[in-house]
Amino acid sequence: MCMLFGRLRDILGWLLNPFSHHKTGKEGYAHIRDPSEDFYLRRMYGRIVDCWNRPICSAPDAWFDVMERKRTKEPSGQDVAEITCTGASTRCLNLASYNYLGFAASDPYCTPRVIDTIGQLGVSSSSPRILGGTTVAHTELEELVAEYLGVESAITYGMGFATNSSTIPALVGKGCLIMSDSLNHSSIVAGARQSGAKIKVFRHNDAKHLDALLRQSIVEGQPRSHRPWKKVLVIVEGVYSMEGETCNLKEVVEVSKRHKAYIYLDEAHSIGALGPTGRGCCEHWGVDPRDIDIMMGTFTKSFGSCGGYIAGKKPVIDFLRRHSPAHLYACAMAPGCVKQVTAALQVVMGLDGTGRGAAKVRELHDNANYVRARLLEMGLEVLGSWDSPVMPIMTYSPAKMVALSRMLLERRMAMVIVGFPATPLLLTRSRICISAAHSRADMDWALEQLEEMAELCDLRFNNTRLKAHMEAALVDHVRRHFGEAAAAAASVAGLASGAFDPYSYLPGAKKALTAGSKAAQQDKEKDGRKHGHAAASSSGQQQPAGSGPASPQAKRARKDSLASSISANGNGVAHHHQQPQEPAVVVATANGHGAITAEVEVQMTATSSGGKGSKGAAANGKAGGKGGANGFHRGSGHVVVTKGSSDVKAFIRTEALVS
Amino acid sequence: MRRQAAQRLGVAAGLALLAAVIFAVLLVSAHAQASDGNEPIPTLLSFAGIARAFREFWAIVGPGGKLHPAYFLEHKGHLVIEAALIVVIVYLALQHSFKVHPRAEDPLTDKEIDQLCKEWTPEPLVPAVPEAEQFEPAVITGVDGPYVSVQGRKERVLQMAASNYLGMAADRGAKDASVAAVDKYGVGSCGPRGFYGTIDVHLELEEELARFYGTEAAILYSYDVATIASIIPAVTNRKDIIVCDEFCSYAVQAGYTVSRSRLRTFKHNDVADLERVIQQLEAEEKAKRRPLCRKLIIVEGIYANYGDLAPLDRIATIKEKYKYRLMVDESHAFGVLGATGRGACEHFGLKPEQVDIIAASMSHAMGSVGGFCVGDRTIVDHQRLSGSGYCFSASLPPYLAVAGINFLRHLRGGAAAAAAGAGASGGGSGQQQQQGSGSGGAGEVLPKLHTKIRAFRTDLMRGVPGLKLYGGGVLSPVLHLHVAKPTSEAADAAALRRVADLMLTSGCGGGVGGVLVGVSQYAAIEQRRPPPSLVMFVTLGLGDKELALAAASLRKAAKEVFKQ
Repeated sequence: MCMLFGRLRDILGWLLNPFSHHKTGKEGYAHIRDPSEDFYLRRMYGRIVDCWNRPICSAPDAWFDVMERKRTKEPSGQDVAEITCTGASTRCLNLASYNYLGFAASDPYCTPRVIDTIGQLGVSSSSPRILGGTTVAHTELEELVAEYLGVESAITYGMGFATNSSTIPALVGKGCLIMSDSLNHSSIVAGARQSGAKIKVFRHNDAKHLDALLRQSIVEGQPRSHRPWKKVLVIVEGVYSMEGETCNLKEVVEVSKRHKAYIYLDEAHSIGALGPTGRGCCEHWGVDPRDIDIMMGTFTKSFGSCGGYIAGKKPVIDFLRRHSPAHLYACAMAPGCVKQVTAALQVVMGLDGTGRGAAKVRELHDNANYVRARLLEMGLEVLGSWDSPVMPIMTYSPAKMVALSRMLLERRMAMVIVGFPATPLLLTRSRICISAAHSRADMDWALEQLEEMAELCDLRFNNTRLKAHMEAALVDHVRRHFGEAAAAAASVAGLASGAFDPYSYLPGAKKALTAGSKAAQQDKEKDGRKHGHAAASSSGQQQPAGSGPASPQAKRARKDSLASSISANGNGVAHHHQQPQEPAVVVATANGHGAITAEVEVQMTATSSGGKGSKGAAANGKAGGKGGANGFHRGSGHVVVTKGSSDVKAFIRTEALVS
Repeated sequence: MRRQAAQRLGVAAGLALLAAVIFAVLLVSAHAQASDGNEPIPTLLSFAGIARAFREFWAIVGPGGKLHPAYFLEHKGHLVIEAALIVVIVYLALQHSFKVHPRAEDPLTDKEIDQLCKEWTPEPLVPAVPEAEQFEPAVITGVDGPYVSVQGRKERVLQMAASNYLGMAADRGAKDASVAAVDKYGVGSCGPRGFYGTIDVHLELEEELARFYGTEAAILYSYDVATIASIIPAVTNRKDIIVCDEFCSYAVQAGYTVSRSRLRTFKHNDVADLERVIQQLEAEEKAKRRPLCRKLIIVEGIYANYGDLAPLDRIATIKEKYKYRLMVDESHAFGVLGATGRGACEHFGLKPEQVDIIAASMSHAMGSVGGFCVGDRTIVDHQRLSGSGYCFSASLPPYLAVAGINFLRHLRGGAAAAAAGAGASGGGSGQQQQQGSGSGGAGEVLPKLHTKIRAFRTDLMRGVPGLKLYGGGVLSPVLHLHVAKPTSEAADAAALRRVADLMLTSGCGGGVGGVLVGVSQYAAIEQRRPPPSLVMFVTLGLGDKELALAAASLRKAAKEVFKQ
C-alpha cells in the first residue's frame, strides 16, 4: 500500500513538475543509489528511520541507556528524516543485544584481565597475523577454542563477518559446489559469491531437500561440462539469527556424510548459547564435533567481544594459516578483545574455579524457554526453537512493526525490529534476544508490556498449529536433555506458569546449584519468580477477551490508534496505554464512535472483574478471537498448505504472503 | 518410425496436391483458349457449359489432342522429366539437413543414481601445505615503544613488522583512554549498528572523522579488510563499471568480485594506461548505447602490496574529464602523508570534494582496529543500508572507537584538544590523555616521520646485497624489498624468510636481540600475486640509532643468505 502510494506520488510529482524532479546528484554522474533502492529509501525507510540505529551510551547489559533523539527535519519524500540526539538518555530494558551469557558489561573475572592485556600488548597489534601481529594472547585463545570445541586446532580472526567472507573463498573455488541454506547469513553469501563456486540453495532446514539436490548435483556434475565436482561444501548455521531456529544438524550431517560433502557449520549465534555447557549446536543435538569439517563461530555474541574463529582438523587450519586472506592481510584481532574471549571462555569452561559459567548457560536456557513459553501462551507467533535465545515475533505488516518499535521504546523497552532489506517486505518481525543477565522480574515486566502491545498492535494471529508444533518440540527437547520422566511432564503451559522446571528432573539437581549460581540467583531477585508469574497470569486473562466476539469494532479502534501512532511517532498514544482501561475509550471517542466506546468499556470491566472464573469465558473469547483475528487472513480467501507439522514456518509464510 | 511415416505421407499428399493444381490450371487455360472465338460462351455453371468444357477438354486431352499423353511425351517429354526433377529438388530442399534426432534417454533409475553418488570421490577439503610454506610467526609477549618481547628470545627486539606509524597502538594516553572505555562500555558492542549496537563513541568518532577530512559524513566499519570490500558492492553492481589498478590489495579484489561489476584494470600506476582503458570503455558504452551507469576508479593512496604512491593529482584530472567517481584506499597513507595527516589526497593537493569516496583502515597509524569511509552524505548514508559489512556485522568494540577519537585529537594536536575532548568522551580519562599525548599534533609529528622515512629509504637505496627496494625514494613508510635476481616464487620466499629469521635471531648488540620484519605471503586465491618481498615499516618510535641498527642487521643477514 505504502509502495503504491509512494509510486503514485512519484508519478504525480513528476507530472506536476517534471524538471525539478529528484535531481540525480552531480551532472553527468549516475545516481549512487539504484532506482529501487532509492525509492525504498525515500518513500519508506525515510519515514521510519528512527526505528533503527538508536544509539546507546552504556554497556549493552540487561538494562542500558538509550539516547533520546528528536526529528529535526520531517521526511519530504525526497530524502530521509533527519534526527539528532538531544543529549538525554533513558534507561531501557535491553532485549536487543546478543549478550547471551551476560559478558557484555564489566565482569569481575574478565575485565581486569582485559585491562592488563591492553597495558601489556597495547590497544592494537597494528599488523596482520603473519607479519608482526601474533601475540601470546592470540595463541592462547586459539588453543583454548580448540579445547573448548573438542577439535584439533583453531584459528581466530578480528571480525565475524570477515571470518565467513574470507574463509569460504579460501576453501572452495571454481569447480566446487556450495549447498547453502536459504536463510544463511549475508556474510556466507558474500563469501560464497567471492569463491566462484557454483551455489545451490536448499530449502531452509530441510535435510530431505538437501539430499535430493545433492543426489541430483553429484549425478549431473558441473554445469555444461558435466565434469564431476571437485568438492561439495554444505553450509548451515547453528541458530539462524532472524528465525531463532536451531539447525537440523543431525540430519544434515547424516545426509552430507552419505554424499561425502563437507560440512561448514556457522555457530555465530549458537556457540555459548546452545548445549548444556554452551558448546553449541553439536552439543545440543549430540553430534560429534569431529564430524563437522569446519566449525565457524563468532565471539561477538556470547562472549561479549568481537571477532570469529574457524576450528577443525589440523591440516585444514594449517591451510588457512597459509592461505586465508583475513589471516594474511587483515589486522590481527585487538589483544584486549582476544583476552576478553579467553577469559569468558575460561568462565564458561569453569577454569576460573567457580560454577558461574555453567550457571550462566543454564540461566540463559531457563530465561529463553520461559519467555518463549509465555509468548506462545500469549498467542503471539514466535519463531524459533527451545533453548535458542533468539525469538522473532512475527508482525507481518511493516506499519505494525514500526508502531511496535516506537511504543516499546516509549515504555522503556529496546527491541529489534527487522524489516525489508533483511527480510521480505511482508515478513517483518520484531526480535527478542534473551540474556543470562535478565532477571525474572525484568522478563515478567517485559512480558506484561508485550501483552498490552500485542493487543494494541494486533499481533495475535492464529498460532494453534505453531503451538502444537512447539509443544511436540518441547517434549522431544526435554527428552533428549532431561530424560523420559521430565518429557512426560513437559508442557508449554507448565513452562510458562513455572509449574514445570526441567532442571528438577536432573539427577542431583539440587546439588547442581553451586555457590556461584546461587549468588547469581539471589542477585537477580530470586523470589521475583512467583510474584512475577502471579501478576502475569492475572493479566494474561485479560488478553483473550480483548479480541473477543465483539472485537471487530475494538479492532478498528485499535487500528486507528495504530495509524495515529505511526503518524505521531508514537507520541500521545503511548501515554494512554499506561492505564490499560483507557486506550480504547480515548481513541474511540476521538473517532466519534460513541457506541463503540460503551461496548469496549463494558468489555474492559467484565474482564478486569473476572478472576479464575472467567477462564472459560476467556477461552471462549479466544475461540471467537480467532474469528476476529483470522478475518485478517480469511478475508483474502487463502488456502493453508502444510506439509506435516515440521513445516510450520512454510505455512506461516504462505499465510503471510497470501494475506 | 512413426515420424518418418508421417513425413512420407506428407510428401505424398504434397505431390498429389501439386498434380491437382497442375491439372486445374490446364483445365482453366483450355477453357480460356476455347473461348477465344466469337461464339457466345455459355456460363460454366450450366449443364451445357460443363458439357462443352468437357468436350473441349477431351479435344485437347483425348487421342490426337495436344495434351494427349502419347502426343505430349513425344513432343514435350523433357518437361515431364524436368518437372520430376523440380519435385525432387523441392523435396530435398524441404528436408532437415542431415540432422540426427537425438532420442530421449530413459531417466536414470534410483539404483543408478545411488551407484553414481557412491562412485563420486571428492578432492580433500584442503590441499596439504608444503613443509617449506608452513611457518609460525614470532609470538609477541610484550610491547615497549618500538621494541617488543618475543617468545623464546631473551632480549627484546626491534619491531619493524607492525604499521604502527605514529606509535599510537602502544601509546600511554591511548591505552588509558581504552581502559577507561572498557570500564564504561565493556569490550564488545554485542550487536550490529542498526540494532542497538551504535554507541555514542561511534557517533563521536564518525563526527570527528568527517570534521577531520572536511567531508559531510563518515561511517565506521569494524574491520579493515571488510571496509572497502563492503563499500564497493554497495555502490556498484553488475551494470556498473570499475576501473582499478592491477595490483590493488585483496580487499579491493574481494569487493569487485562480490559486486560483479564490469571490471577493467590498468597497468600499475600508469596514468596513460588508465586513460586508454577509460577511452576504450567510453567508446564501447557509446557504441552499445548503454544507459548511464555508475563508474568508479579505484586506487590506493599507498599500495599495501608495493609501498608506492598513486599519482592522485593526474588521476583526479582524468576522473573529472570522463566523469568517473574516484575511490581511494588511504589505509597506509592516513595519518602519515599530507600536512595534517589526511593521506595521499592531501599530499597531492586534492580538495576533499575531488575524491568521492575515501576509505581507510584504522589499524595502521591510528593504532586501533577497524576501518572507515568518508564522503558525501548520500554516499555514506547509502552504505548504512547497503554496506554488508556495516549492516550485518557487530559494530566496532567501543574502546577501539575511543582509541580512534584519541588518535584524531592527538593528530589535531595540543593539550587543548585533549582537554576539550575529555569531558565529551567521559570515563574520566582526560587527565591521563593530557599526560599521554600532551605533545604532538600533525604539524610536529609528521615532518619527523617523513624525515625518518626519507633517511631510511635513502640508506637502503645505497644497496642491500641481493635485494632491491621497490619504489626507491618515494615518501612511503611501507618498504617492500624484492629479490634482485628473482628465480621462482617458492625459492625467493624461502630466501627472504631466511633473511627475516636471521634478522630476528642475530643480536644487534646494545641489548637489542634482533629486528622483527615480515615476509609477505599471498593467498592462492589471489588472481595476481605480487612477487614475495621483505616487508618493513618505518615508524615514529624508531630513533636514528634504531634505524641504523635495522639497516645494518638487514645488510648482514642479506649478505649471508645471498652471498653466492
